[in-house]
Order: sequence, then C-alpha cells, then structure tokens
Amino acid sequence: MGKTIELKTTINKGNLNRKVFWKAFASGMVVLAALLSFMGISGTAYAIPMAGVGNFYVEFDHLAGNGYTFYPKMGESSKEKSTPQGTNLIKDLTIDHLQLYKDFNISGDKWIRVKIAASKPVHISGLQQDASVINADAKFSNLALKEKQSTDWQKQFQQTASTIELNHAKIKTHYLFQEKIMMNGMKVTVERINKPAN
Amino acid sequence: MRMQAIRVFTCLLVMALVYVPNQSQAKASGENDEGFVISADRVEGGIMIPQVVMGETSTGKSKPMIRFQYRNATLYGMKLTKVLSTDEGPVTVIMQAHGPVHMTNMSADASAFSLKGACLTAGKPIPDPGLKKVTMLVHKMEASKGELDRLTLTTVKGNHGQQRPDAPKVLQDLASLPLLEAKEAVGKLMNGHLPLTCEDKKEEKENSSVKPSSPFDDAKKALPVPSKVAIKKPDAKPDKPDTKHIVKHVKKPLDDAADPVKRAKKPLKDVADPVKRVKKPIDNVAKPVKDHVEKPVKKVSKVINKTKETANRETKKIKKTVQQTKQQLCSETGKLNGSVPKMFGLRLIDEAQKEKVALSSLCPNDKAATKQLKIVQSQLLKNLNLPSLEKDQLADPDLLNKMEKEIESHSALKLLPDLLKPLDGLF
Repeated sequence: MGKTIELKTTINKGNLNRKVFWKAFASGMVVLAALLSFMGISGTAYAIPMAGVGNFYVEFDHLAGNGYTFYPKMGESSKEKSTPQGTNLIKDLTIDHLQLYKDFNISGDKWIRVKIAASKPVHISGLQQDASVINADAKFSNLALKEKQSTDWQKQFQQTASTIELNHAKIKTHYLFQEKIMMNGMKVTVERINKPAN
Repeated sequence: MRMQAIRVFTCLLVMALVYVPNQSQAKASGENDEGFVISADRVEGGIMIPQVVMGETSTGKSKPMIRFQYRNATLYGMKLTKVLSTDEGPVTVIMQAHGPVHMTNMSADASAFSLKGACLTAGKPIPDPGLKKVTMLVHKMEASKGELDRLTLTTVKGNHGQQRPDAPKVLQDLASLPLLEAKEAVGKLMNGHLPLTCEDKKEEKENSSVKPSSPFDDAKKALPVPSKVAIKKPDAKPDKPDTKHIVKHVKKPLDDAADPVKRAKKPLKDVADPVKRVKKPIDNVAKPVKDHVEKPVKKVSKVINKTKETANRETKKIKKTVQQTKQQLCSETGKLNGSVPKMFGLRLIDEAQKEKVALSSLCPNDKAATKQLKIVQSQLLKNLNLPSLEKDQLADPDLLNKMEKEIESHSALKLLPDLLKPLDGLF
C-alpha cells in the first residue's frame, strides 16, 4: 500500500504544497484526536460519533453480531450535503482485525492515509453505521427483507436479521456511532499512498 | 354576477385539472415503487411449494401474492433492487451477490414474476423445479439462514431498478376483487389446487383449431374477467365482482370432475336392470331343470346304496381272506423249528405291528405258532442286545422311541454282525 510514517517523523518539505498538506493533515488529526480523547487510556469509550469528516473506510476480517437492521436514508458525505446511504444497526458485535482509514490528497497525486487499526478483537454495543457501499461475504440467520406500508419512505423497506456475520468486509462509511466500544491493541499510523482506486 | 360565477368556476376547474394529474402521478409513482425486484439467473433447490396469500406492500395492507417456499434453495446471479421515492428524487438500494446465495427455509411473497422451467399449481409441491431467468416483484422475503457470498450492498441516487415483471392473470383478477371476496377466492384456489401459470401454453392452445379443455380454463373461469365496459367508459360504474359468481366458477371444475362419475354410474344402472330381467328367465328355466334333475338324482342315490351294499359284502370277503391269510401265516409259523428265515420273521413282525399286538401274541389260538413266535422274539431281542426290553413291548407303537431310550442307556450298543447279514439269512 505505501510507506508507513511515524507521527513524529520529519517530512521532506521540498515537493509538497504546504498549505494543502497541513490542511489535510490537520483535518485528519482532528478526527484522530476526537476519537482518542473519547477512548481514553483504558481503550473503552462511550457514545462515540465519527462524522463530519466525509466518507472513510472500515475494513475487517470478521464481524459477528446480533440484532441487525438495515434501512435506507439520506445523509451527508464529504462531497454532498445529502446523499443516499444505508443505515446499519447492530446491537452487539465483535470485530477481528478492524481498520478504519481515511485518505487525504495533500497535493496533486500525493496522498496520505490516516489509519486506526486494532490488533485485538473490538467489542461494540449499539452500533450505527451509515454506509453507501458494503462489500463482504455475508451470513444471516432469521433474515427478513420486508416492505411496510408507510408514508415515510425510510420505513418502507427494511432488512432485519437476528444474527449477522461478515467476512472480508470493506465498507464505505459516512457516519459511525457506538454506544460503547472496547478497542484494545489500537495503533494509529499515517501512510503515504498512491492514489486510491476507490 | 354571472361572469363572476363563470370566473370562479373556471378557476376551480383549472385548479382541479392541475391537482388531479399530480395526484394520479403521485399514486402511479407510489404504485411503481411497490415491492423490490429480485432476479436470479437460476434457482436450484429441493421441493418448491407455491401458495396464494394476501400480503402487505408499501402502499397497501393486503394484496394477492404467490408465496414461493423452499426448504433449501441456491440462487445464482442474484440481484435485488428497491427503488424509493424521496423528496430529492428516486433512490435505489442494490443488493447483488457475485457468488452463490444459499437460503434455508426460504419464502418469498411475489405479486408479479416471470420464470422459466416450471408451471405452478396452487399448493402443489414441485420437486426441484430448476427455475431459470427468474424475476420477481417481492414484498416480503424470509429465510431462517441466508449466506450471500461476495455481497455488494449499495444505496445510490436515481432509479436503477430492474425491469418489473407482469403479474400473472390470476393475481391480476384477484387484485380487482374486494378484499373479503379476494380472500375467499384465494381459499378456493388453494383448496382446488388450481394452476397459477403457463398462460402462454393456454394461449397457444386457444389459437389452435382444437381447444382441449385444460384445468387453466377452469382456473380462469374461477375468477371474473375485468369489465371491458368499465375500461372503455370511465363514466360507467365498474362491475362489482360477484363472490357467488366466483364461487360458482371455482366450483365448476369440481362439478365437471363429478359429472363423469355420475355418467360412469349410469351405465352401471343400465347393466343392473338387464341383469334383473335376466334373472326371471333363469327362474323359469330353473324349475323344469329342478323337476327333471330331481328324479334321476333319486335314481342315482338308489344305485349308490346298492353299490355300498356290494362294497360291504366285498369288504367282508376281503376280511375273511385276510383272516385266512393270517391263519395260513400262523400255521406256517407253527411248522418252524426255532430258526426263522429273515424275510418270514420280518413278515411276522410287520403283522404284529399292524395288529398292534406283541409278536408272541400274534397267533393266540395256535399254540405251536405261539411257541415259535416266543423263540423268534427272544432271539430277536438277543440279536439286538436288548435283553432289558420287555418282550411285549415289541408290539408297542412307540417301540422306536423306547428303543432310542434303551439305546441311550446302552451307549456301548453295537449291532451284532448277524443283523447286518443279508436278508436271506436267519434270525
């Protein structure tokens, strides 16, 4: 993917557009700072929202949860004030090898990726994830896709399942909220990357 | 005053014209968004049971649908699209599996569908129908387990919905009925196991010169044809579908099925009547036959009695002969001098066995014979090395059993060589 840069590493200033870089870097740091401040030292945090930074990606090897609901909505993205998304609600879940990252264009074709990764399983309660794209191998039990009579279009279509299992997932996320998260073995990195394909 | 009224009326008319199309458009748009379309290149599975049910949609609480039920189903090339009307235009939810989709205990309620590979009959299980090019307008889909390999779930702007299939005639006709009547008709369809699809085949049959009556014709008759008059003349009141009419037509196939039974019963009656008519002449014939036969039978019985008497006489004669033969045997025995030829000895034993008497008592009236017989008996027992066996027991019908017991008590018994000699020897 690219070379990993430690947070304190001095970056070669020669070829960079300083203004663009610091703007992008600062916005990334704001996200991280917000997340880290919520998490505290114990690795457990309560009522964590991740929003206002546009879309970012969530990747993981395995997710197992229960109490799943999906319904469509309109929400904010990095480019538009209102864009179609799907809300995914999961009551309790455990994720193995979780990675959250956002890519920043610092100048021309130069990109960096700010990434948060957890080497240990992450336990979340009360997850809400608004995503426009989900790619995964999915398994559900007591799966139901239903229409409902309603004047509110968001309530006209719903997918529910008593349990959900996702493997090799990549989710384009616009909003993330957890009532409670336990994220041990967390590591924050900034990588220089080539122009992302997505 | 009149001008003012005309102006007001014109204003109202314009408002109404502006309002009405918007309403109809909204309604049409709402109806267009009903359901989500699921398509699959092919569906494989075990037994599939189609049922007719009333289900909920985004615009109504009760709509006639066909429920497709599978215990296990695998869908290849599955794609689901749901178009939703929002204030900012249409939005489409797309769920696509690039790998196979395995469903356990799956049921899908569809108000419209197109498929290849099977003709559906209400409530009749189809073993592994192997459906191909399936497209369904589904309102509810459930599965106890669902595995979707390489799933992509996206929510995008615009209408990216798949082409919606047409509703089968049966569902169209059911939808035109009032709710209660529709429910009643659904019950009739299910109970009657009436066909739900294969209209094309039916049309082909209709176009051909010969029109064989198919079960689908009856299924069609089961439901009222939507009123053409109502379509042509919007002012005219639409014909209210009559439940009795539907029930009558749903009943008709059953009546049609019952008629052949009645028709089959009639020839049986026709056969039964001649049988009764045939019975009379038989009675007329039986009497003379009885009269004629009775006399010879009496004659025959007389003859039989005579034959019996003759037989009795003959038996007495034979008995006499036998007695004479026995006397002869006894006199021959009396002439023996202690040594008995084997063949003669066996004859004596045989005779004693027949009369169930001891060998020594075979000729009680002949003293000389009895003496010789006693010698034979003792000699025989000696040869058999059975001295403990009582002599009278030789005539016992259970002799062999007793001998077996005796042999058991003399396990070292060895037949003497004399017994093994040829039959022309002496005891």
